Amino acid sequence: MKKVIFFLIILLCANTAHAEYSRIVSLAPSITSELYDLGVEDKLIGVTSHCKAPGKDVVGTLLDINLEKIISLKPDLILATNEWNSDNSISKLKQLGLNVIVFGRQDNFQKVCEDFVKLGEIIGKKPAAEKMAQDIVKQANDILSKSKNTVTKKVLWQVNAKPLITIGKSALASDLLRFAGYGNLFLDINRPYSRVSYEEAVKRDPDVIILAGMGNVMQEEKEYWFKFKNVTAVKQNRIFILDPYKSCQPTPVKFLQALKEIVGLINYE
Amino acid sequence: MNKKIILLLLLVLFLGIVIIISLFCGVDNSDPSQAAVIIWQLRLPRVLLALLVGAGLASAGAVFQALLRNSLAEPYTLGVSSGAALGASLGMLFRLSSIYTTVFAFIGSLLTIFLVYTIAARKRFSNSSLILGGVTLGFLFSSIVLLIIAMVRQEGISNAVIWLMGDLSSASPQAIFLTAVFVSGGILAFFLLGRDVDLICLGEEKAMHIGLDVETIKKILFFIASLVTAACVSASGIIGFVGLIIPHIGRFMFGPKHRVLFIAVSLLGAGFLILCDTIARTVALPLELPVGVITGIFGGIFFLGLLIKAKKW
Amino acid sequence: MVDVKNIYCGYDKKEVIKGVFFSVEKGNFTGIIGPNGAGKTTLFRAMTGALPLYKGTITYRNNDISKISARELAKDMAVIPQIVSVPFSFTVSEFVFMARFAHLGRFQAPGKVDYDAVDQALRSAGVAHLKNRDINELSGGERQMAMLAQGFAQSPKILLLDEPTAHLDIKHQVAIMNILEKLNKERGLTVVVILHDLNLAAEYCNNLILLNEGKIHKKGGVNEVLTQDVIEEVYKTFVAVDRNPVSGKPYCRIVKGNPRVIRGAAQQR
Repeated sequence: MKKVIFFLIILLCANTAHAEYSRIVSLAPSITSELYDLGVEDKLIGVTSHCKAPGKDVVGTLLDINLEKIISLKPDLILATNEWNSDNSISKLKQLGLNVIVFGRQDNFQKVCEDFVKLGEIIGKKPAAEKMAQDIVKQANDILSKSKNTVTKKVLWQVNAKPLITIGKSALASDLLRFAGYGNLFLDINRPYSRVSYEEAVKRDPDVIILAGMGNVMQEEKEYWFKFKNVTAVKQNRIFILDPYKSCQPTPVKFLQALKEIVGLINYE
Repeated sequence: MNKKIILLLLLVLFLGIVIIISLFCGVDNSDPSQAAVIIWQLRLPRVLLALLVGAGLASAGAVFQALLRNSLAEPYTLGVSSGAALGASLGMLFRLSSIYTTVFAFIGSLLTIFLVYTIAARKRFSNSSLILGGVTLGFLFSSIVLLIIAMVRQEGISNAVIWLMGDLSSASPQAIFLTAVFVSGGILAFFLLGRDVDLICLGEEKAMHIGLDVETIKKILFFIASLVTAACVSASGIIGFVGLIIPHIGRFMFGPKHRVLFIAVSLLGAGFLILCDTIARTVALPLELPVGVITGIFGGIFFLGLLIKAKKW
Repeated sequence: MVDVKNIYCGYDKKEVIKGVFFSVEKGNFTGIIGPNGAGKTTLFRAMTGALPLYKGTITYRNNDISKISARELAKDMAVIPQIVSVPFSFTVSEFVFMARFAHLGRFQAPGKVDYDAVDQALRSAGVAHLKNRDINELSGGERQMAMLAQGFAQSPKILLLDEPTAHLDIKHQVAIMNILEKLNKERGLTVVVILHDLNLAAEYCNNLILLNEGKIHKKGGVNEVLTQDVIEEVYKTFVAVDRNPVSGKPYCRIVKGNPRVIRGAAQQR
């Protein structure tokens, strides 16, 4: 009898150690994606209009959250991010007594994985999260070590055309390039995104140009670059267009996906 | 009169120097083919557009200040820029390629010009109807633009916001050509109407008594100046300050007679904008600042200095 | 020269001028007088073509002025309103030169005729010494003379002025009227001038139009119009009408006190 009671007590403690949330609202596409990766989509009851979550209630756009809608869904956990959600909305939700957990900006792969594990811990899937993360980190590191043999090529990663906007050191895409064995052409810029002149880009002579922006605009941009016949990337015809939604979401799964895609695309060997 | 001619020649010299600096300074000659690409393919279109837009906005500004008899008037007062912004934003909303942005922006401004013209024509083109109609439409369109910006999906910075900040580096050759046509045609027309513009400054009734067909001239001036503004904004986004302050500097240096003034402000505006664009391109390397920021700060400080030193004001 | 035929005009569909008939002959020096609100400026604006008529016509040399273009009319008729605001710093000579507009073709450069007309005008008005000054920096009297110069420079055949002597000291009042008289007598310039000062009107005009409540109360020679009874009827004020000892023209003296007593005293004389 004592054994049974003892066993029941342990079970109870184990349960309350990670409180099980069953009504989760996600305020960022990356968080939604990670929740699906961890297999808890049945607990997800609210997403943003940008999230890929068929059949779930929409509680607002990326920037604008409908507080009333969230309240009406009676969530027991709200997952937000500093990168997109406004401080105002987050503090209002907290004031209303709701359980809000906020993730910060992830400017490198390590942080992405750490946050993924942290998310796993919050929703009671820590072991699964850790395993997934370790597996992905290993694959990423494999790719990194393979590329250490090649000479580092410089990549211009463009998120906008006319004017030219590129990524700096603290953009996740910059770390993505590092793993792929390439160098960000504008690594000396600290901010995540910066406007630069075409002249400066031409002067630095990229080996590869990645156009990560809206479809047909980027097609035009590719043709525009062909005018600069001296640029190495143009001479070697290494100008690639990437789907911006696939190319840099801060989740471990998507990061690895993007990493494999870039390596395959550019294929220096 | 001789003093003014010398001053004008000095302005031409200033413009020439600014063009040369903008085109050739800071280019590494060790790789001649890359240098050629930078100078002729990247810098030349920029300098050319800056020249056109600077001259265009400055002379349109002088026309609006005379037309509205108000030295705080400027090319954007009557809503043309808001219409262009609306057109450009709609183009971006429908994910059209960037050539269409220019076209849409121009259509947007034409729509605004048409609406303001129609409103004002019902009231014999009185200044109050022009101002009320133009300013109101401006607010209306700007609000719609804000709505669009809020709705547009973004993964970085909204394209519409970027366009609004002004950019002299992105115009297609066709856009530059069309801007050249409108701006030079416009400035020529202003020059030929110089005397008429002087008369308008005296007020509608007095101008009529001296022999001016006031309503017709006002319509012509409004239309041409708005078209010039529309062409500039469609090609380069919204660049502020040039249309407001360059006419003041021009009048300060050359007096208010408009025949001379239009030449002067065209030269001043062109040189000023080329200079500002070069600064925007180089002051925060490797970053590039929006040119409107430089025109505002640089121009503002320069003008404040003038204000403090000059005895006249 | 100018015939005003039974005109009705006003603002916002209301009638201010209700049926006015008169003619101005070549060489006349006509004064328009009347109490405040009588419609003098309204009549003036109708005569200059600035105010459209509800009924009736105004002709200049037998041509309906509403059908004459502004440029054509300006060759003969110059108008000096009460105020002209100049938003920019034109010099006096630039300001006066603008009057040559109607005499110059669009692409025609100004010639000797124009420069002479401007010089003459500046001298006649006594402002030649101010020609390089900023018009907005002149004193009230100087500015009024500059306006006059602008009117003269237009080389008109008929000059219309709205209260040119308002707000000016006696020196300037007399100076202006003397210049007008000189031009009228020596050059045959027809003058139509609104005056508030009855004595100035009496001294200089050769005929008067007395306006009251939108209609002509009396018109004709100076002695006919400026009588004690007429003035009291229209201005509702008692004045003692005398003779100017030098010119013999009527002279209105203001009298304080009880009108009946004074009238009695005056009648006893």
